[in-house]
Amino acid sequence: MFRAILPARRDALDGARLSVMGHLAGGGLSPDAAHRVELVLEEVLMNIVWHAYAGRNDGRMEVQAQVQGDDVLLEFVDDGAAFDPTRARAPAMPSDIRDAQPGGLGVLLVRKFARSVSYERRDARNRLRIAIARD
Amino acid sequence: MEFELINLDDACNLVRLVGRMDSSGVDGIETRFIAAVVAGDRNAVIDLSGVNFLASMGIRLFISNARAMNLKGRRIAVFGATEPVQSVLEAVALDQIIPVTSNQQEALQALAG
Repeated sequence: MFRAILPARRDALDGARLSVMGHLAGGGLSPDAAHRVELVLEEVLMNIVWHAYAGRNDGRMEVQAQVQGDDVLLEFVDDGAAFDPTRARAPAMPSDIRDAQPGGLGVLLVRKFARSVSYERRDARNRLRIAIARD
Repeated sequence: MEFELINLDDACNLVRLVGRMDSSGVDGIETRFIAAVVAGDRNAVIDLSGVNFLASMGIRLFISNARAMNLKGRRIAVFGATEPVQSVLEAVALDQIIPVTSNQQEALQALAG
């Protein structure tokens, strides 16, 4: 299993992605699955940086990744502000550009590209578990 | 990531994007992109064939630029997305607010229509 604890900053995202994808490289992921994993990693880590640690630069975030059966399992832990992406309101794209809001799309993408998403707030920590189909 | 802006004519620019449109990639071009595309005072067709990854930060860039251009009576269209990029465009239904086409000619026609 891959496990890393990273500074909750945007400049840590590239390294996290390369480390996780390097670990999963021998896991039999299809190209589509690898794309889904990369996308979910990017969106979840960005949400932690923006929402859990908004206005702080001393936050930490933990990432775990492993292949289990037909899925890639990702787990994210942080001790920032409570943020439950399973309950966050995902925006619907309006029909007119004047009404379009650029925010909230990360949550929408995670829901669309993951097989399952579960959230728990325990011991003042956010814990997000995401399963992504390996095929 | 990188971008290249080409003046097609007095009414429209072609913008070629190359690389990963994730938070890191968008951070690297956002200021220059806005200055070139929005301030250009022309419509823009954006070539995504060189983009191998698109995340919400890239979608945000398209939406915020399209809104800014709309205020000036200008529009943008995107075209040529690879399969993984197209899957993201469809997931967020970007085509509801910005023309999304398979090639440059269709994108130009969408803006002319």
